[in-house]
Amino acid sequence: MTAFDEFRDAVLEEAENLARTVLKRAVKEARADAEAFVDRSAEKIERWTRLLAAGDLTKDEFASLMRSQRDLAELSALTKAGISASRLKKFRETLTDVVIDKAFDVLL
Amino acid sequence: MRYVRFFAPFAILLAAAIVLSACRTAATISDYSPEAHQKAAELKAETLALMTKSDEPYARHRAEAEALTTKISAAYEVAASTPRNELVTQQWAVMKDPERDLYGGYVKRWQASGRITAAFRDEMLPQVSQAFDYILCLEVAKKSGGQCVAGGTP
Repeated sequence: MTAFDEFRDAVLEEAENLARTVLKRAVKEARADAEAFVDRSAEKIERWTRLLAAGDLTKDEFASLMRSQRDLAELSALTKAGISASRLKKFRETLTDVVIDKAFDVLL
Repeated sequence: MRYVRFFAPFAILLAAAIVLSACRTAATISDYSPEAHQKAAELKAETLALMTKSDEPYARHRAEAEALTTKISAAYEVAASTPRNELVTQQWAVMKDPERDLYGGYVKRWQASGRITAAFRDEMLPQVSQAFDYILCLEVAKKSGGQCVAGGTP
């Protein structure tokens, strides 16, 4: 095995470990977020339905609240997309450090 | 040792190429802006303060509402003119749109109906508050690269 092979293997191994950690965390958080969203939405819809039945909300107000929940879902998705993009950016920065560190460790 | 001497310059060139490539392709989201963060926090406070008064006649708060709408439109314009900031721009677009059901739609309703019922206001306040939290969270995430605790979930 040449020094360069050793360098390449070290970088790939480190990158794989890094990617696995980032991905595992993202999947876990995405699942928790989705569950929380559904739970919170159900609570709100139940409360709004009670207020509608009691005459405290008009049909139009009820419909607006339901649509606002849909708008929040859209904002939530945009935030999650931003978090993913930001993590990807950090991942690439870390990977760059790994490449440099391994180059010095293995080759110099 | 011979291999090391032979491959060292190549490895450094390779590392440099990867660094340059990573820097170019990592440009998928703009950097954290303390000014944008601060502005969004101020707008959240102003919006919620105005909404609490929306059970009063719109005419009494027209100037205040129009000034706030202008500030929110300005936040949208700043976001839209910032490179690689499409996600935040879309968030402000939803927030200010009078045909949607967050700040823009709420003010449109207030203007059209003259006043907002207390029950509807009380239910919409946390919705709009949460919407601002998502915008704030996204800005924070640019810095931390992680989950934003303050934003929670809708």
